[in-house]
Amino acid sequence: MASLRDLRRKIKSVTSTEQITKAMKMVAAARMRRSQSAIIAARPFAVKMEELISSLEEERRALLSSGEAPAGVRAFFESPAEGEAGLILITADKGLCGAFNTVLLRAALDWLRGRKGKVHLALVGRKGRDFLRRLKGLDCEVEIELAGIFPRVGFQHAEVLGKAVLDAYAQKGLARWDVIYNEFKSAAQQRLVRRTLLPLAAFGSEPAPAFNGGPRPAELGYEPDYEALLSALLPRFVKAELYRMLLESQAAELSARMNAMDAASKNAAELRDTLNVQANRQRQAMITKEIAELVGGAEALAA
Amino acid sequence: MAKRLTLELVTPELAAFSGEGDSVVLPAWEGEMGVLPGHAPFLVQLKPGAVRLRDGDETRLFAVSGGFAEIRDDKVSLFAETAEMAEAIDGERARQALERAQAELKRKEADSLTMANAEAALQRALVRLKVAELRKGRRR
Repeated sequence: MASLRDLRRKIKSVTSTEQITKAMKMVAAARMRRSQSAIIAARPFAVKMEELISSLEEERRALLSSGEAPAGVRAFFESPAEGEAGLILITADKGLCGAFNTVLLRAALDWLRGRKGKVHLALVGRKGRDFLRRLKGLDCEVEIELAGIFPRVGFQHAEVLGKAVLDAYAQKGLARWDVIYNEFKSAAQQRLVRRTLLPLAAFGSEPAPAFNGGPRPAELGYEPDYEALLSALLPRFVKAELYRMLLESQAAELSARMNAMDAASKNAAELRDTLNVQANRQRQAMITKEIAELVGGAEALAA
Repeated sequence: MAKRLTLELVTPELAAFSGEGDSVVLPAWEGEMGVLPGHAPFLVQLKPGAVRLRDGDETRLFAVSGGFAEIRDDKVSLFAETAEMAEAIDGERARQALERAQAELKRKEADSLTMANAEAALQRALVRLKVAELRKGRRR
């Protein structure tokens, strides 16, 4: 049985831990709200971008099937079937956010296991970078590392990331770029997302939405010409997508941390209560013992 | 009543502005382009520069850092990485930002992220200064 002094020391440490986890929870909650509104603010841009690109869908198909598409545009939609693959892994910079990073790293390992040969990596977040650096026998080329950008993700980060990703894609003949990140579902839930960023497939499969009775794309005028426009538009679209993913991951990380810290605070409170009861019991036992001794001593004298 | 145009500015970080006017002038790829109500549907790439929205006698100026504009049904939607109203631009601050960015770019050892940041800041500051000067010129 621990002595009273040990118990008191433990209570003190648990109490201060509880204070820290509570504070971290508050901070995460406040930041999460902010990053949630950043996601909402970013939505119109992404939606418009998507509309714009799908409104160019017909021309794109015509261009691709005519075989006259410039290589720069074609590559966005078609890529060599055989080629090295790339992975964009978006993790957090810090721990103490539950299973957030673990889930990501496990998914990344899965992905790596499914590849043969060399892989290209784009690592966002310190955790993912450190983890993959420690992996031995991995034949990889790191295209870009972004660490320390959370919790203040800006479009410029997406810009830098997008540029590195697109450069590698265009120049090194990559077959694809996959992304693994956590999506913000609600304050209590994050969802792991695995998807392919490049080549862009989403637009081929679904028909272009009708534009509220607006003119068909064919009636649109362009400046500069269509090809130049598309090749300027596509990289921006990719960057807007990346920006959205960074924001999602940021909000998800903060909500995961909020939950983890909430649970930690609760555990600490529970532990503190138990320890308190133990300490009180010991204190009382000591007092009772002393009284018994006094009474025993007095009785001995009286006898 | 005469027909009106709606101008909408959208950036990745926020929907920056939305308002009405009689005409819009865009810094289009091949030169400035004026848009009046009833313009044909058009999609145009923009250069970094000034966007002017005229409403009666008033003109509002915006600084944009390149991007795209879509004209459809008397509505001009503008997508840019950054867009700012001229009133919000502080000429002196823009000049300082320009100098800072230039100094940053001269440092060779900076990593790619800071370099890209500085480059973007440089472009922004240049456009801002231009717009701020335009505004001053109009006042005189």
